Amino acid sequence: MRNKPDPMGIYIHIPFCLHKCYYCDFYSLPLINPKLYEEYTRCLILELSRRTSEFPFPFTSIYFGGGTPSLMEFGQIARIIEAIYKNYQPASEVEVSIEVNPATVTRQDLIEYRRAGINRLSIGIQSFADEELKLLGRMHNAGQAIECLEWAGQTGYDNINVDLIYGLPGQSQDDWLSNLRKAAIYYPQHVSAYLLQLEPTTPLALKIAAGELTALDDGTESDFYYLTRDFLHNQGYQHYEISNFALAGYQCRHNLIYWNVGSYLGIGVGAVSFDGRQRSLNSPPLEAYMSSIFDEDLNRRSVLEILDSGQKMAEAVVMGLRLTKGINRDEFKRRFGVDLLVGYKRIIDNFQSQGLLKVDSNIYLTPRAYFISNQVLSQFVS
Amino acid sequence: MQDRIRNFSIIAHIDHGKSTLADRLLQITGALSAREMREQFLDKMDLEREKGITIKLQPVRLNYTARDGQTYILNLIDTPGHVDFSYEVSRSLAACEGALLVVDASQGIEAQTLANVYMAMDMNLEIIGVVNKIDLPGAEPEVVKQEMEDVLGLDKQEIIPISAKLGIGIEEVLEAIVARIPPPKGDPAEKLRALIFDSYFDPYKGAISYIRVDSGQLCKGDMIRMMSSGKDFEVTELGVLSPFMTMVDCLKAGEVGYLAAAIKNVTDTKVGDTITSADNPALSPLEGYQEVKPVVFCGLYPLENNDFERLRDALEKLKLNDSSLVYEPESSDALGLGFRCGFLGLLHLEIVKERLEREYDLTLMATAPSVVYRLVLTDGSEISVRNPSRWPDPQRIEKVMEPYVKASIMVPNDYVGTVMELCQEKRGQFLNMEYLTPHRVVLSYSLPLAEILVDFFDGLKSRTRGYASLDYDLRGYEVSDLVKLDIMLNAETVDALSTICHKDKAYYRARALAEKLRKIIPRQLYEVAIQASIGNRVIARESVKALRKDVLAKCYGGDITRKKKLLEKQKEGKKRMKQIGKVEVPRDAFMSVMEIDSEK
Repeated sequence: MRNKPDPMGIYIHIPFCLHKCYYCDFYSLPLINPKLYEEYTRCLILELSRRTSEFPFPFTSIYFGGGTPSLMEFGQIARIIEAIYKNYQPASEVEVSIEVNPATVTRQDLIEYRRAGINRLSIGIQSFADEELKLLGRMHNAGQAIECLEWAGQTGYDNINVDLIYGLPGQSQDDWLSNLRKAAIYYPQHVSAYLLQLEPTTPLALKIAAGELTALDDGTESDFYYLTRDFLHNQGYQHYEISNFALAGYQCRHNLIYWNVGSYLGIGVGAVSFDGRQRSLNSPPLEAYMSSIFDEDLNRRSVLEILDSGQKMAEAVVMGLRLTKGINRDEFKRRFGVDLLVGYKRIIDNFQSQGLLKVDSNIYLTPRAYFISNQVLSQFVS
Repeated sequence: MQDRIRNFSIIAHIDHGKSTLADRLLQITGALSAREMREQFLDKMDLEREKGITIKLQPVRLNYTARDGQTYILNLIDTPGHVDFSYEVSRSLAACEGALLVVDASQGIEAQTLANVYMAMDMNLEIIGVVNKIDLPGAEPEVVKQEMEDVLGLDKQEIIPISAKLGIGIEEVLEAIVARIPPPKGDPAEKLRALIFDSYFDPYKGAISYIRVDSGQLCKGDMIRMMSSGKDFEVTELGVLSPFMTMVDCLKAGEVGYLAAAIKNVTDTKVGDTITSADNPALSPLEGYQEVKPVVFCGLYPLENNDFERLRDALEKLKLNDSSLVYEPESSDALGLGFRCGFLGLLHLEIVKERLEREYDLTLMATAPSVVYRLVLTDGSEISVRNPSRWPDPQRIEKVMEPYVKASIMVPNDYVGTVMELCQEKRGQFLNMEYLTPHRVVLSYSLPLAEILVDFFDGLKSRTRGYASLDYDLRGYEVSDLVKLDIMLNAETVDALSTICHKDKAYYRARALAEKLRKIIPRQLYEVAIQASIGNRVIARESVKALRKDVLAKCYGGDITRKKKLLEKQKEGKKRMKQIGKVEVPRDAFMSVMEIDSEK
């Protein structure tokens, strides 16, 4: 029997945004210059053609993330996908996702994306309430969010993710529940529900620091989290990662690569690649990245870290425990030659006795550990 | 040769420029090339440079060709300026015939300086007055000179104005050292007597002693005898510090240098001991030093219990270098095995702890510092308690006595009121007020040592915008109404957090302590109840709510490296915690319980 190849993902980063959301601290550029988009597209295609030797494996997923990928013209997205298939070998089944923003995407775009090979949409809904969207600095309103969901269904997508954010300043449990209920009406195959992270330098965090807004307390956030879990459970979703829920068979394959410490090729400025050993970054700023690609200076990529086998193993534990099924002990032993229960005996015993970890054929967090999981994960880092 | 030796030290308050002056002397006499020069050269410890203070004296030999054409050997023995280290000063002075008194031209004389100058005068040292920092805008050299004449009886005509920073007046200082400080008197033909004024442990050479030869002479290969123990050793190396170790064959009467004699056991070179010849021993030792008695005690515990032996070893070695340190093993329910250590003051405590951690690679926890209490029990017996957790049951206590000091506070007269207020708050009794000059006052108070230990000095400085200075002497024990305050975490008493305090302050302290602990104990998986009690009576309580959120909501490809770093940082933080029962307590919590008074 032929060995199934390890899954490999290709990530394409589109750094452009209409404007930066009030909670975002990622590298993105508030730019709408069609000429630049075209140049960037050519650049991505060039980078794809240059890095084939780095990733000789068949790829199992493509993911357009951002920024706001839906700002690009659909033709450009299509050309990028074409370039991927031209330069890399696809696995028998490939998940092709794109993040779309209800403020920038049109019905026609969705049709064209499908035509180009996109088979999964990740819609940045965040909220179905206008005041909340305003607070977050999102460019769309609730009407556009619903419209986008409807188009997605009408244009034939059968693998849709909805991103939602909870824990906004002033948000009540009912406010949050009503968001979940609205999402459930459209019954997307996948829901990512993220706790609002207040990164220190973002406008939202600054407003809170200045006392203009009051953040929710930890207890309330925790209540919202477990409420989400119960609600989606009752709707038939599996809770499969700390912040992710899916109907059976619809877990995001691309993201699973990250949590399983698989390899991925990151294309575009700000994108990170991991070849199984080395993690590297196409460093910003955009201009420097682009000229390095056009000048064939592939060495400009900065190495973030190089993992030895011990570090890689530790990462596999930290990332693997984010998944609710946890880590399969046999698979782990096959992969790293170490029995988890032996290698991390003291830590595992300790958390088991505290009721935060469970062990059977797998090792996994107990539900009460999810929202305080750093307490556990931090003890496994090398 | 002996008449061209001058042994001197420098007396100065912290920040009055002693180390800078020493740097200049090294430079001008050519002891150091420009390349070798760096600031605070004689402050060997990193800790000293960081804190900008001198802790350990470091002798150095300078060759100076004076205006009379003769070349002199000047042995400079630097001294520390902080009140905790006054015993080091007395040791330095005992090896000298003269002292430079350095006073800041804008600050004037400080209490601590005064105490040290009196010490030098008692030892009949020649005092050379120096007014430093005359280049500063606020300098009033004439006023300060007048003050030095009025207060210390120095002739103001003979006081030398300098700027160590700019190198002004340094030659005059060197000339005055040569002209005014007498050469050492000891007779080289007499029997050998040499004073050990400091020592430290070198892993290759064994114990190294800094010595001053008083009479006779000492050569490499000689058999020497330690007069306190009668033990004999062969001298394997002799040398001078110029300022780097330079070997010599012999040291004669009046000279200062170092000695190595393959002394493996650190207790065999006692600072203050006299070295004589094993073949031709002197009859009596030199006058040693006053034994310094530690006044502050605290428990030092290794964070990792199996580091106990390493800590013992480190303390033993450090003690050689710091004879004032005392220690004995003790155990704590909360912290395991450790040592109860005695110190001369809080700065001393802090420095010993830091040196143990840095030089011996240990991670330590210190319990709250305590003074030594004397208790008379109901059965008539008397005991000393220097560890609050050993405090007997109140039922058994007849009478409690605590140490008092006589504090001399020198302060500009504008600040007398606020200083008196502070002393009242600290249970002080007014003794005396004396005008040194029309503007400078010396206030004398009797104060409980425990009250001035922690934050008195900081309070003094902040109330007087830094103008007050403090000196104190232990004056004895007085009866006091003291109670033991216990802390319970989740209903279990943590012995290492117990403190002794005055009954009138117990409620305030209990509340402040509980609140402080609530702030520094991180949230954990379970709620932590904090209670402060006297005997069985709980007088304050707080709680640390259970941890509800500690999660990375998102963790994807581009972000993994950064997220892992966050987790690594968290793991590091955890290492600084001590598990007590089920509760994780930051290791510096035990020390910080003493700091609450200053955070009103």
